[in-house]
Amino acid sequence: MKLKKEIVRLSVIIAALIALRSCGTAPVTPDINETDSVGLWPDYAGVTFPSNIAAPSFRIQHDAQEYQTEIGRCGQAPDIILRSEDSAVEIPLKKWRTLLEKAAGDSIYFRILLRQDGKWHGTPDIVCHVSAERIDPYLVYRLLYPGYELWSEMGIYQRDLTSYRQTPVLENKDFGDQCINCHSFAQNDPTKAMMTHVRGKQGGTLISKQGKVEKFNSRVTGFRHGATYPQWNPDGRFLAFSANEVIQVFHSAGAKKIEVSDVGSDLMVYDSETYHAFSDRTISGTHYMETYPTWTPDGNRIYFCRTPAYDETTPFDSMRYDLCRIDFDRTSGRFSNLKTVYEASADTMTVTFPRVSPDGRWLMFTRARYGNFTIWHPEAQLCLMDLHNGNAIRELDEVNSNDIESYHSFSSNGRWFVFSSKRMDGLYARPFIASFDPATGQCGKPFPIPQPNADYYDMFTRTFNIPELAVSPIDNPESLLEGITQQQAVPVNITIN
Amino acid sequence: MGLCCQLIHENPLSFHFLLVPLYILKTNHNHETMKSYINAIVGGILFVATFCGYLFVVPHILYFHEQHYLFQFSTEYWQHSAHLHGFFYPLTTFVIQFSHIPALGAAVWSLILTAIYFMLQSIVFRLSGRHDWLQLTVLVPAYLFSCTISLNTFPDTPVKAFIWTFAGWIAAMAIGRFLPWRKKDIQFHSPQPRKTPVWHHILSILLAISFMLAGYRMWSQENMTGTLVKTERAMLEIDRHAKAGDWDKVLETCDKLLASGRKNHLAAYLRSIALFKKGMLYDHIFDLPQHFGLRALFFPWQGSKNQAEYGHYVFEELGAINSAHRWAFEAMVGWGETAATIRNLARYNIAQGRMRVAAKFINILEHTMFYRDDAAELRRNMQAGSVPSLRDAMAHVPSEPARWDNVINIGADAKYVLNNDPDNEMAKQYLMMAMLLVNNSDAFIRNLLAYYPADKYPTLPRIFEEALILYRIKAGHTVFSAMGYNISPETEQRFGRYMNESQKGNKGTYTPEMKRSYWYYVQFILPKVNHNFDRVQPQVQS
Repeated sequence: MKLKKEIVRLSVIIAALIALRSCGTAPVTPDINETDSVGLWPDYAGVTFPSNIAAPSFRIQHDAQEYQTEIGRCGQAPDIILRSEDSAVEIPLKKWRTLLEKAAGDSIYFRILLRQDGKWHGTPDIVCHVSAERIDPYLVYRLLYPGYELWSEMGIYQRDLTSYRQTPVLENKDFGDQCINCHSFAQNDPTKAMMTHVRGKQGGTLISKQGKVEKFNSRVTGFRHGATYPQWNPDGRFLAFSANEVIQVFHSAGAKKIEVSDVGSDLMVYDSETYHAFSDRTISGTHYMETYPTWTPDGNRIYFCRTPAYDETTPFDSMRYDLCRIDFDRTSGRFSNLKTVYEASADTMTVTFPRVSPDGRWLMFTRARYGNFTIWHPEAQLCLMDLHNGNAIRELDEVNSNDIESYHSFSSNGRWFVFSSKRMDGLYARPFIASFDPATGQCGKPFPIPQPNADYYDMFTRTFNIPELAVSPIDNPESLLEGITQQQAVPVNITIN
Repeated sequence: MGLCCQLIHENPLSFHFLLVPLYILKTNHNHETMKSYINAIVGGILFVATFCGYLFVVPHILYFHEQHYLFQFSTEYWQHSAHLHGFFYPLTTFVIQFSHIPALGAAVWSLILTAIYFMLQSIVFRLSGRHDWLQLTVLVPAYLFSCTISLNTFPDTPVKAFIWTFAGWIAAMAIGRFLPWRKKDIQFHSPQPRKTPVWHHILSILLAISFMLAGYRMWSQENMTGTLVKTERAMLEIDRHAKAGDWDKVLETCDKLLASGRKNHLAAYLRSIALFKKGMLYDHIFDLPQHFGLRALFFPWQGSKNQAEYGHYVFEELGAINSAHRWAFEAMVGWGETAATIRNLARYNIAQGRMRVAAKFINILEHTMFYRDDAAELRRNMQAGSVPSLRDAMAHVPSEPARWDNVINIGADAKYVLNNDPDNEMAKQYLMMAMLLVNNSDAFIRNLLAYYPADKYPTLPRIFEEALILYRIKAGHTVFSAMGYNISPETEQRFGRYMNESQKGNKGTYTPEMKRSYWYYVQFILPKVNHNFDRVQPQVQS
């Protein structure tokens, strides 16, 4: 009986507290209306959100005694009201999802109110668009310290973009701290085909197709260098590789810290069904170095970057890559019709990371002053080439910042792309998402992938490497680990025509 | 709380062993109390012995661990480190952090070991109804002590042992209540206590002490206390002084270590910096044999995690902040987020104007217990936009044309710094020393003419004169005279004496003065210097 009374009393107190809290988070009518907007960090103002993205967390960059953030569809009462004495805004995921469902194809506002000297100051609404288009729900990346030559802990992780859940795919602590890098999927689908390299005593290239994992020797017999930068043919059978010999040198002065440079590289295509590779003298000779292959959506053409071969007198800061293409016949394994598409070196520029949009019309690439490892080049910018319109090129001003923009990949529907940028601090690469209009090639304002707390990017000391969007999760991490630790690498031979 | 009271009740002196003499005076010496205070005496001895061991025998071990593991009060740190290294990792680093104050660290570790001893005693008593008269339980903390005093072992074993023993003790408390003998033996102050001879108690204490001594003896044999520990200790002492910027102490400790005949790269390298800082580089570098040749000035980059944390010193002093930053970053990759590395990275990024990156590192320090003051100071530096005592000598140098560090020859880097910062005295001295240490006489003369012209330097450092005599022999008097340098009569006389001795062909008869000469270095030391250190191939990271 006594217990019952206690429970009732407790319930009344809790109800009262909830009621009080509700009263505290009612919309506020500002006493003073300010004309200047407040800044958000990270900056989510004016961005276009996919309708299935997790809620952004940010700090209001203004000092106040109390903060109220009201979020709702434009022209309507707020759906979410948050009040705090802290400038951090962390939106409940459930409420955010409900709001996005209602607002898909519409705009939402973030109304920030600041209490100073006992008065509420209203600021102009920050308006963002919610696209009806969904983004691939998973983002796969490698996390590691942005080191130069040494490495320690690293791993490939997948992040559910609809929530904050990040799960490890492969972590090198499970296989003797060996290096793991360069993951790639066929058509954004890890279940269709996925690959990654392992460097070390159990090294090799892991291939996973429909859950079955195989490991082949990255050093293809008869080829000068080992398989390095990969790209899956959309059919999930052929895998284009550049085979690079890479060295690292360090800048004595200036904003750049390190130069990762090739001293040799060639192209090849690996057939994952016959365990055989193909190349051609035009893309594996001694006159040029070829790298960063990428397929067109029809799987018949490879775009890649090419520069004259290195010799010991070549200054690393004089190496500039042009954008080239070559056709590949999947039935015969032969290459033909090599052509330079964009002679960037003529503009004293270099091209890296070409990626073709899923509709085959656009080619996005990174452009910098020299070299091929642009993640360390502050001047690196994203550019877009219209393959249907005379290969016209424009810099993506709506996306680029004053700092590094580098590795990028499209979503499977071509409506979004993710790219690495060091704009937040100049040292750590963070994945940014931007909307993309396949009809015009116009992009939305980019934003960093949402994190559960506002200070995440200021505190996190590992860098995001090779962000790749995926339509489904990698569901066989155990098999991949087994592939590394249990399987012997299958030797691969090559035919060079 | 109840359980703790129970433990204290069973061993009334367990946590008050320092008050043992007082207690003995005040209590009745009945049987149970006697048992308890013997445990307390043994526990007290254990605490004092391990405390002294940590503080006086192996203080460098505590320092080493404290410098290489940084506990952070953040969920992210806890989750990340527990995920990567297991649950006990953050717990251990939590304990390690107290070693920032050596006495506190020693006390915490000793308390853990002593608590394990008392809990084991209690477990034995609870489960068997008998006390551990042979003091076998002391073997466990003695072994655990040995687990914490190696540089190569992460000291998580005692922490794991503490947690598991604590769990076992709770289990024993619960189980003990149901054991048949428990009801009988639990009765304290029984009307007719059994008399135990005093020699039992004495034997018990002696056994415990001998177990502890045996444990120490085993450890010391395994670790070759005489040489290895002394070297390790000296190296860490040098490291500590260098981090504190106490170059007098660095020089003193390096001299002591190297004068004992040991070849130690770290000592040779930091000694060179200390000599420069005190304005004694030219005069005293050859006071001790330079077995490392050019490497006495720097660490060539060999992809070594162990060297990574020391390589930044010389570049920081030279004002080559890009290079210092690279070394500090490699140290962070190799060792994780350590206080020294994080602090350096914050400093370098402030010096190079990357405040957001600096803030990230300062954030880390702000989440620690003992480095908040450093963080506050760095915040002030950040607001001021510079770090006192840190100078980016190449802040004005553009990124292009690019110039790459010469990771195997400090001479080339010193030359580059000097070209961009002509008043950089350290770059000048390191450049000259680099030429001398590799005996590149042509390059030495070129740089001598450029930086020490005869009209401005009528007298030259002793080792320059010694090198000039060798050059005169090589190039001839006419060429030498044209350069305009004079060699003092005193140096000429010393060279005469040296040649006389040299012609005798007996290395053992050289005087200490002769052994300090550049001639002796060129004739006897340089040919034995290993110049073929491995350059580890760069690793690919895409």
